[in-house]
Amino acid sequence: MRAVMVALALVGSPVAAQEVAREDGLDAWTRIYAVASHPRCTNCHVGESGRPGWAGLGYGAERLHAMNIQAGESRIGAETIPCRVCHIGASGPNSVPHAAPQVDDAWRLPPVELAWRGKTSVEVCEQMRDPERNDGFDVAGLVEHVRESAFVNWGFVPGGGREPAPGSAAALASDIEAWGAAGLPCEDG
Amino acid sequence: MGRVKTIARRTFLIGSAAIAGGVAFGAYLVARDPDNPLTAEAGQGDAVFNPWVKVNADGITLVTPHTDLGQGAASMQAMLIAEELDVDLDQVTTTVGVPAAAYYNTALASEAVPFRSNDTGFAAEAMRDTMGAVMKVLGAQVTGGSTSVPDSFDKLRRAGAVARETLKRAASEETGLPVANLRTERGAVILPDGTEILYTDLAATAATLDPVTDVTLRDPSEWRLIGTDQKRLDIVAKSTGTQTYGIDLKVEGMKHASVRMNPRKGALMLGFDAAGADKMRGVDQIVALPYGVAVVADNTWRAFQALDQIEVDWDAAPFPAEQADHWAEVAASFTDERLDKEWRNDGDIEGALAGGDVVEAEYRAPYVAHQPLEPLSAIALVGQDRVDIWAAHQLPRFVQQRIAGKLEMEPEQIHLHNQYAGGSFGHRLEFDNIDVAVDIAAKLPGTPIKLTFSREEDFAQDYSRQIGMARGRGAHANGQVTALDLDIATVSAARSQSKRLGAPVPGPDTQIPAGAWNMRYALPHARVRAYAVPELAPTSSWRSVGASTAGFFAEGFLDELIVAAGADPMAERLRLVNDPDARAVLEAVAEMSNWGEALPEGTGRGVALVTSFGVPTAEVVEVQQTDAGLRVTRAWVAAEVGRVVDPITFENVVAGGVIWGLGHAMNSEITYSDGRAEQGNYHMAEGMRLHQCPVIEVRGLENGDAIRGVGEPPVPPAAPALANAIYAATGKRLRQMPFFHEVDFV
Repeated sequence: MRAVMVALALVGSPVAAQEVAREDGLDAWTRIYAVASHPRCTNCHVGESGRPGWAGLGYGAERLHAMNIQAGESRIGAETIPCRVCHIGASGPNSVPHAAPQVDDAWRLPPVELAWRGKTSVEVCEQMRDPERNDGFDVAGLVEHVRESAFVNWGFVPGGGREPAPGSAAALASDIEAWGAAGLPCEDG
Repeated sequence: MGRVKTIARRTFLIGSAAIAGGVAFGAYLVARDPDNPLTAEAGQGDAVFNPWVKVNADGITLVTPHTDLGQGAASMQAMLIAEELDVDLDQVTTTVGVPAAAYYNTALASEAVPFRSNDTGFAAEAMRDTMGAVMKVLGAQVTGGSTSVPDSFDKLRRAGAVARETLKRAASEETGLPVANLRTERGAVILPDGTEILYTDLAATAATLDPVTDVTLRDPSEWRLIGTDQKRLDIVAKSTGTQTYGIDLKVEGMKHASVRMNPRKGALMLGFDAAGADKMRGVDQIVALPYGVAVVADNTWRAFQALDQIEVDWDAAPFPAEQADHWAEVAASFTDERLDKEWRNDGDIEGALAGGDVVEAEYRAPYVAHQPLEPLSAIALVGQDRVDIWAAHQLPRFVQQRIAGKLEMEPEQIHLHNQYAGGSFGHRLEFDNIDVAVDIAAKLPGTPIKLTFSREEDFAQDYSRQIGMARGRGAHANGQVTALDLDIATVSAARSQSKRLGAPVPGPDTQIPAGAWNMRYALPHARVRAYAVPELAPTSSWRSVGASTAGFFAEGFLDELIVAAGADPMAERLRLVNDPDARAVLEAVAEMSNWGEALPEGTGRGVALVTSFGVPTAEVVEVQQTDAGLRVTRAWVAAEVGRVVDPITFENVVAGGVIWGLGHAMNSEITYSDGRAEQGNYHMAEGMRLHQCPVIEVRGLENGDAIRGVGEPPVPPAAPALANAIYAATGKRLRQMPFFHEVDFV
């Protein structure tokens, strides 16, 4: 249906085509934001507090990571008890719900400027298209990050009955491509 | 040694307690002291004065038969013996001893009788004596009911004194000096000229003497150990991670097993598909049991992994499958037919309700698991003529009798090597780990089987705290609480538990209203009625038993009445309190917390006073609102225990009880779905986290006549004090545990 609509739009004026592409990009963004705002992602994109959250199986409403975990200035965990004390930096089956999940990457919180927990769709959108606040990525970089990152991929298949982020890493990557092709539109800007 | 002496040494004098139960059991049976279990094993030169003290040339051994569940029981028992024996704790070895009738618990009867603990009338005392006689005749060796200290306090000091006096007699025989000229100090008899003869050097002579039983216990002014801070015997091992618990034990040649039992507790297994689990690395055997399936492997982890591969067809639960139906059954239990007993009816409750401003409320308490940190485990070795079991258990003699019955052997053939427990909270009053280990071992005779429950299996098979509900009505007039009418309906944990023990308890269940009917308040109009809900999911004693639910109902609802009356929660309780010990603990926490001082915005304090196991305990809890949720900041606790044996252990046990009570009130419940407990590990029932723990200040009062135990009494006031504090801070009244459903905690 979407393809048909795009095709119909292309038959019309170039202006109409751009409008549709923007609409298409915003649709893609809506799906991207559904992922980005999901607790599976916002658990870690937490900003200056340095305190990751917990959401998913058995934890009820979103709450702070237990044991009063704080990432510290380094973001790798308070220096005396880094994330890797519990979270192993190698891929694992992640089938035991109460065990610390494992991914093939070094556990840490995203940098402070990448925080988007609690932010609106527009705020996150503007942040994500700004290389100053998205870890220096252009669109291709974002797409590659989503396709390659062990963390992002784990978020869709966390295992152990944990609640996954909606969709898949592949769908997220193609949504970012579509959003990029539409000129990285945000809803009111 | 002549026969007369042998007989004299086989028995011992328990003490001077009057036994009124002679009529019921026959005076002989009650008056007769059980055999001294140390005699059977005593070798040449072993002086065994009574069931608790053995001295030989190698050293001094104190037997501490109350199971150490982390509460410090071993150190406490050793201290009491050592006090009168005149030894220091670094001079002795302790051992838990063998299960024996001699170790029957003389204090257990008190909480089982339907009288207030401060009731010393004839009927109450006579019934306590009778129950005490029952315990003696049964040889009920029990660790539980906060009785380790009251059971031990006189008995073990006496055991030490008997040994000391006998050693002095031995020194007298060896030296020709009169006993009156001898004294003892630090493991030695001291002669008038200062010469020391070590107890260990006197053992051989002492072994030939009849124990001197005519002893006088020392005046408290002469105590060296009791009442002083002692270093617990296990403190180094616990601090360095080297303490050996039951789950750490190794036995030569043992194999490792784990089990998956029907998660619908009490139901059987219909069938299973091992699906190649028997071919997995390290797997030795798949063992079918009526109630489940076990894997025997070369290590525990592989047994766990293999169990995960086995598909089992389970039978349906013998109780409602869904939690809502459990609550519906509880709610339907406030009927005349289910009235277990009307425990209190003072004044004119109906008249008072008609004449005042009425408040009504309904309270709830969920099922909660025991969830000790050390999951259940046991090692069992079944031989032709003897069975050996290594496990931590609170009822060693019952283990013997149970397994003897199961294997058609004599109890004497069952050898329980009781172990140090990594927590229990009532969990180790049950027998699943023992039963399963023996069932597996019986299929592999001659091979020691070490059974370890996974955490999930431990949760799934636990017998929870009683589920319950209370309906309160009350009235206030002129700024004062005038009437309180509390109907409490819970399932009977005592009946559920005693049914499994094969010894049903007759009469009303004292634990349904425990902590409520015995409120030490002079309410002019007060009624407490207990209703017994027919058994739903099986339940068991959970640290503080009935008072952990009824105490919450009573003190939560009383707080509502006080607030409705416009009174101060502390002042109104102090106005109502009618017992000097209870008043003293309330006054203590008021003073400790500086009750009434101005508090910052968003901070609130709550108070609760609950008497359980004879110990009036008052707690003030403080909470603070923060952006992220409520923070429990401080707690003050005072308990009247008659005598504090070891201030450090006392403080730790009390603080631990507060943490336990608060954490479970905040975060823990067991709910059933499809007949199974939905919570399988700590991530779903986590109690309190380290960073959530408030600063806790503890005070032990010593005004009472009787010495009491404090393992359980700090638990019941914690939940209502927290709920009352949350009300004070937020205006939100919490009437059902766990509180996390309604408020966020930092």
